[in-house]
Amino acid sequence: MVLLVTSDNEQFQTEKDIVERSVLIKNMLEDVGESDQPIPLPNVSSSVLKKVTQPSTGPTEIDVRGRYLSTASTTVESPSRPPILEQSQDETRKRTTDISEWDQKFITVDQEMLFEIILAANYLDIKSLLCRRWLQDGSQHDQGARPPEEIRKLFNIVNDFTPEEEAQIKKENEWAEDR
Amino acid sequence: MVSPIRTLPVELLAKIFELFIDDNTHIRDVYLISRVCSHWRQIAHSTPQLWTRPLTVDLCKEKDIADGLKAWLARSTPLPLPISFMPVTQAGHVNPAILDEVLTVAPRSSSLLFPPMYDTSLPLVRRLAQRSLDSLEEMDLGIIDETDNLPLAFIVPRLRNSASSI
Repeated sequence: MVLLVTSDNEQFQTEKDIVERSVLIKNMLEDVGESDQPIPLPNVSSSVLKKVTQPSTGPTEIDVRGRYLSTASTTVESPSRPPILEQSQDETRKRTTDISEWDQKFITVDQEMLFEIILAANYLDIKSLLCRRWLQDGSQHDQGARPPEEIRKLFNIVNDFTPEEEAQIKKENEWAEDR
Repeated sequence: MVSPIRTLPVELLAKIFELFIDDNTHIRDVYLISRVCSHWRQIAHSTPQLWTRPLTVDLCKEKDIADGLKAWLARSTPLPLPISFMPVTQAGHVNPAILDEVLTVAPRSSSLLFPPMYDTSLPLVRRLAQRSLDSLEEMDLGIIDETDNLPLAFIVPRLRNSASSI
């Protein structure tokens, strides 16, 4: 077991093979060797770390609304595994055609928490959290990308292009329209 | 109120964009990102990694795509770029504006791949051979089924794999 200490001084006892999904922690453990000393995580709050190490029913990722995605076709080997640390880095670039359903039981977090989790994942170096699903439409079976209008709506982003810029962008994209 | 997504560092958003882009749909994916807002567009345009996925060019395309292609290639600067081509069987069918853009970026190409089962125009191959292909690691010239009895030489200091049928 590894003892993690968050920015708000909470302590978490976590299995070593789980925390080593974080490249940062893995490197720390390799540098320090066998030790009972706690590992400080000054950039991760306890609420975020709880989300990161939350038990789930299978390999999952967080979608753009903060819900955990489920790969329903995957055999569950260890129900106690945390959702975010489960996927290998090699899988992060894969297309996500294997997602077949949304699991309504998964936790919903607000966007601020979602982005805190993303920041923590970046700090901890867990690339699976930063994968393409983040911008994909989870409701579509083929997992196509969301249209720009939907991305703006989802993230509360204002379309600040002028009509002239819109026209320029449209023209710029024309060369690749049949791709 | 500032959108929470604006709180993410630019470097992190760029990293997320890079992971979002799929090799099979990379052109659509990059343009999608760059159409959301000026902030995302600025990040996309200043992240050359987003514009360096394998690019397939149709040199014979009649439609005027040279400007769009030029802008795309410019955004990938200064990184190496893998390029493959649709079949080019007759030099006379090549769109000169598109070819000019490809020849301009050729020194930065990490691969230049013609379809292995198709004939490739010898004059076109000669045009490529005139460029200094300093970044080229992989080259497939397809089938060269014509000859002008002149030697054909390439300057390819980094070449690892090459193929052609003459």
